Amino acid sequence: MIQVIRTLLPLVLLFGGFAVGQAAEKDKGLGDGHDGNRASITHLIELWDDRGKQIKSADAQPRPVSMRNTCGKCHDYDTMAAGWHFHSGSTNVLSGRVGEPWMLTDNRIRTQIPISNRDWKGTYKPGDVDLNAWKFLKKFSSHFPGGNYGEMAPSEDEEGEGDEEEVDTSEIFRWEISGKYEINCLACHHADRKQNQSDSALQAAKENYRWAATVGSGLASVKGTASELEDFYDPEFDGQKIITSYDKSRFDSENKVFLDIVRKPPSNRCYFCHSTQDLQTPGKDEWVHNEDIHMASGMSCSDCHRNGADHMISRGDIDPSKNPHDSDGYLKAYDLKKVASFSCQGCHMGNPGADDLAARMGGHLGAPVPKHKGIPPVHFEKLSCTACHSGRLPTESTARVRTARMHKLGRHGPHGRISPQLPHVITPVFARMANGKIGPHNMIWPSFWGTQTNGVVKPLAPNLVREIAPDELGMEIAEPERVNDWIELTEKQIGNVLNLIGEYEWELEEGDPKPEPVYVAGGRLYSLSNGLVISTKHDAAEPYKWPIAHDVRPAAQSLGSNGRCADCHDKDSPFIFGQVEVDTPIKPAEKQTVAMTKFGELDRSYFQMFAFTFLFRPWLKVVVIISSILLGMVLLLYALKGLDTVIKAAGKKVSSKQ
Amino acid sequence: MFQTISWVSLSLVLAGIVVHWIASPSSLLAKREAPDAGGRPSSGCGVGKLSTLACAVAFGSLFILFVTGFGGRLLLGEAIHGYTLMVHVGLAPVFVISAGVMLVAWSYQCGLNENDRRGLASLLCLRKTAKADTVNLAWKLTFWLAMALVVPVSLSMVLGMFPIFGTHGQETLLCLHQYSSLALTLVAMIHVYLVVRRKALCS
Repeated sequence: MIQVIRTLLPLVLLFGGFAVGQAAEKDKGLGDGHDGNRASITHLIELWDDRGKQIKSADAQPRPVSMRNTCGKCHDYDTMAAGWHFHSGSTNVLSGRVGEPWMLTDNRIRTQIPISNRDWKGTYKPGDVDLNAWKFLKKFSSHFPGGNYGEMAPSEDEEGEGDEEEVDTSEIFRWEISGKYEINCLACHHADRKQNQSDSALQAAKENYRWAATVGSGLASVKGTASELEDFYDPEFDGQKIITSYDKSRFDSENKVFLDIVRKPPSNRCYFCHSTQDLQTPGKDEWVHNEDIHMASGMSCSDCHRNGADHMISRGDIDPSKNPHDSDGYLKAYDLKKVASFSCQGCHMGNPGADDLAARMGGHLGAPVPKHKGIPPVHFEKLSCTACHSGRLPTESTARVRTARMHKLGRHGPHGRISPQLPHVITPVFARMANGKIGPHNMIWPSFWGTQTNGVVKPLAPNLVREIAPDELGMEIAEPERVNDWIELTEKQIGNVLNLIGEYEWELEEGDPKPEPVYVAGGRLYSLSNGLVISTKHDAAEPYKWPIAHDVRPAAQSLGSNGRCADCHDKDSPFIFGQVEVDTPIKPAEKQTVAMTKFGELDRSYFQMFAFTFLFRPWLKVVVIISSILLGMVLLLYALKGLDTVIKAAGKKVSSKQ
Repeated sequence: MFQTISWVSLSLVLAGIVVHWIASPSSLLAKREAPDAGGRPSSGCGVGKLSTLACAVAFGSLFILFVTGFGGRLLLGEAIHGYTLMVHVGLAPVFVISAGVMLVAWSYQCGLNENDRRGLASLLCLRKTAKADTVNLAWKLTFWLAMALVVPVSLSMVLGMFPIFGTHGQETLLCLHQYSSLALTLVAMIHVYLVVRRKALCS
């Protein structure tokens, strides 16, 4: 009997395991569909930790919630992970329209480098500046949605570089302590006002990645800091040094927890990472600002920026007339016919290519059909909707903004009052977009130390520069003087640092040319020529800019509204003749600018002459109208005379017959 | 579409003029010339200096307007833009003013007299007409038609500069401007041809 049990037991266990696996697989993606009922689904759910164990209120040493295991019970986590927010690392599949990059800044060495794993011109891959997944998180995790770099195995991101030997073993241990930074589903979909991304950012700053989502949601508080623990910390032996304390009142008798999950994320959730602060009226004058007109009308971000289970959120860049990217990837990822219906044009004017009749008509959510009175249609061929409707109204010289991700806005309380001003984000810059139209952009001027080989410039990792030239860059000064937020850099300093970089012993393969040291700032490439610092133009020094669409201003505040041609066609119009600030640590006190026309690829003299003609436009109108009236009156006079002749002739004919 | 219509209509009118020139040389016209019943000069040969100047300016500016407006569209298929647009818009008021002066100066001479009216009535009723009744009719009619077309051509341009018409309205105005300009050009070509023939006859 015992032998029979011994024989059958493994089979029973195997079958049981298989059945459980099948059941779990069956539930996967259960929540990704829609049964047709519009009522929101109540998320009274079990919480699961990263080891697949259910979290219960009575647990002595509970672990933090794992989004993969909790949300993944009903939603297809891996499908979500392919969405825009989560796929920018090694799983990168699409570049899409250029967007706001991550910004690697080190003020002390006068460095600001746009970083992105997408193939955006002007950005550098994290690997180019020695950022592996771990270091990337250390830099950017405060406003990181999780997933991607947060879930990479320690060496996974470096395999592509063919440099596995350089994997820092210490980082492997740190990953174990900090845990994976899984996709934080709650950061977007948790409508509870208790959701606090500032707390998540604090946990990330402590390298408590595993805990970030749990603490941010308000489900638990955490004591302990992963970054302070030894590399060899092991909770099994050293005892729990990061203590998770759940709010027990949140658990019901079945250890289920109610989470106020919504399909459409509230705008408040988006704002944490996607806010922009206008620096013309910061701080106490913040209250004067209006919200985006769509928000003021009661809409939310996700009304236009929609997505399916794949989380490929529509970015508004595909309008009914054009897909500017012409990439097969885009065509695979998006149903262009549907996505285009939620662009500016799609909502307000309809998407003629849509299958759905309603989408062809436009007017989603009551979007008014614009009249554009007095605006010749040629404007719609040359300008994007955003050119007139979005961003800050242009002034003689560009303004500055701070963005949530670049300046780490939104961190409160224990974070302290950190208020970084660099990088200076210049706005609005009216530049040519991928679709050939002119639209407003935010822009930064990259500045970094680097090397040039065969004309290709690559930035140096900030830590390496600190190591090479600590004295020249004034590392020892505790509070260096700042001018226009920069620590000023002189040409002499540049020369000295370039010399030091030139003396650095690079690990070169045989036959490789020795890289030439360079510094990039303010649109110029600085290098040494016979011991002297010279500056030249170079693609690598070109500013990085990305199109913006928000805040959208009301129609009355749009450029050219109600026939105000002079908004753009005046000889001083900032839209065309504005000056774009050049931001550089070299002579930062001096006002350095570039003409706006350079970015719009416009012929300045032509537009000056064109603006000049607008001085005579009122005369032209008067002359043409008076002449037309005169012509009309003379024509009418002769028409009446002709009619008189016809009447007389007809009268004579009748009389003669009688 | 507009490009095709323009090419076809311009070709037809030019071809018509050439055929007419060959089929009906000036010598034949001289034989058909009849005294003007109303006692007014039967051709535009005797107009004053101002009207001659206005006439020259109007046709000169119309020619440049035609070249700038239709050149790019007909040859390259692209809409008018850049410096060409500036020249086009800059000349437009010159043309409209000179057209106004021309109308005032010429309208009396171009009025239809008894013969013309008889000829026109016969043509409208599809009756056979006396040659003397229609000899002056064509250039007079083309004059009035051209003048009538100047009004939509100029108004369709200037009204678009006021915040009255929306996008659809602007497109309609542009369409109206294009087609009325084409019609004006064609009528002006015929008129010039007829007047030049008469001028040749007078001299």
